[in-house]
Amino acid sequence: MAGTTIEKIAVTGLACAVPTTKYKTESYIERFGETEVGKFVDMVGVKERYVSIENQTGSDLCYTAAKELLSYKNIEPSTIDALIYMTQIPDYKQPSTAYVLHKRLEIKQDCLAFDINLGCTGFIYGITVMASLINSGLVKRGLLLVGEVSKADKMTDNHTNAMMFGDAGAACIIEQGESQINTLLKSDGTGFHIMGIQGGQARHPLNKENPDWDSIEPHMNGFETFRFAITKAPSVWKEFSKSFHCTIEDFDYVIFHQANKFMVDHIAHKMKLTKEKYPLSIDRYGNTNGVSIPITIVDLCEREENIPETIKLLCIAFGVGLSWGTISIVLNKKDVLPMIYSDDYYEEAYSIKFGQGEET
Amino acid sequence: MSIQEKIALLEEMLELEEGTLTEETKLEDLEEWDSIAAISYIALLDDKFNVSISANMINSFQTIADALSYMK
Repeated sequence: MAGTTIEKIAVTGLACAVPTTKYKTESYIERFGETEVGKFVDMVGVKERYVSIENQTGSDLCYTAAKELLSYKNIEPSTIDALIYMTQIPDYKQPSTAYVLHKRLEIKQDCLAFDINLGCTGFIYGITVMASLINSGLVKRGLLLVGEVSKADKMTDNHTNAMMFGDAGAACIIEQGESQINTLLKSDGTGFHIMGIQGGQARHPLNKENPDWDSIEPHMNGFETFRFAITKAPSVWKEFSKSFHCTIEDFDYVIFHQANKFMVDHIAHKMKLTKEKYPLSIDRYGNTNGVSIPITIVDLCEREENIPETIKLLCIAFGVGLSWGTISIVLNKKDVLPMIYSDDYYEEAYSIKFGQGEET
Repeated sequence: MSIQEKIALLEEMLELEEGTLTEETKLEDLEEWDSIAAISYIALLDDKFNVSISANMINSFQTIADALSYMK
């Protein structure tokens, strides 16, 4: 798509939740050896990250974040007209996890609810889709949720998968307002195989007798991913700046998807950014996929005392799809909640049997 | 940029002493030439030479001369 301005939109609340258990990357030395772990930390930059307990899913973290955000903003669930859940790891194959969240958050029936399967660009896509729904008049106030719980560490002997991904959920309120967002999103399906999880769905279902567990793990061509990101991220910014006649100085911060520190540093270097301009959170939260941009914003607001009351942000994301893009948003610092730590999960979900009448 | 300057860039990238590499150095004998080095090489080409190279091309490299051939 070409760069588009969506008018009369405001992002009026943002909260993120992470589990309470912190894994330090150095604790993997025994498992993978000092050299491997050292190289990983130098390159990828993850020093620690938060990992969910077994029963906790991305929707649980989003529920916690949304509950706190709605309460803080004093918003009645009956005023929410759309709930979109961005995830790659839904609670169920069917229905969309958005309906589980719709029930738990006690949102009215006059509401759209659906999931979108997107990874690292989940937040910027979600904002764009929700803003478009609002701009069309269909929705006045929307709740955007982005959640990922990879469970990768428990499944994998792949060093990168085991040490890279952090678990997190974000909740964001977007509604009619006096601000605007500028958005520019791109897709390239020719790279659909460069990263992803191949097995477990219709094309390659798990074989009942002899399941190929490796096929349901994330696989990534690191070289091609790196090449894609360092080329596309700076070029989409260039196109964005031309479309909207803006420069880096028009933004307080540039928030990158926290894929890999070396990669993000390289992109920032190409965009001639100073270290102060692009905050990092990957060192303490890992790569949390689509949640990494909201996590970085929440972390920034919590950590930095001298940020303006109204923050102008340029968000740049790139990832599985291949999908990439950039959006600009304006946030009030007072609308960003401090990081929430929680191991809460939807206990009743474990006693519900699908297709067996009313839930009691 | 001269061949010597390009070799110096690769030595710096691989954190090797000056004069360690020659055009004939075999990559399979070079412990430092690993997956991280390959990603650093992609970044170096992008940064200094504005060249984009695929993983398959890097995997087909046998000597430092092959790596140097894209640095232009």
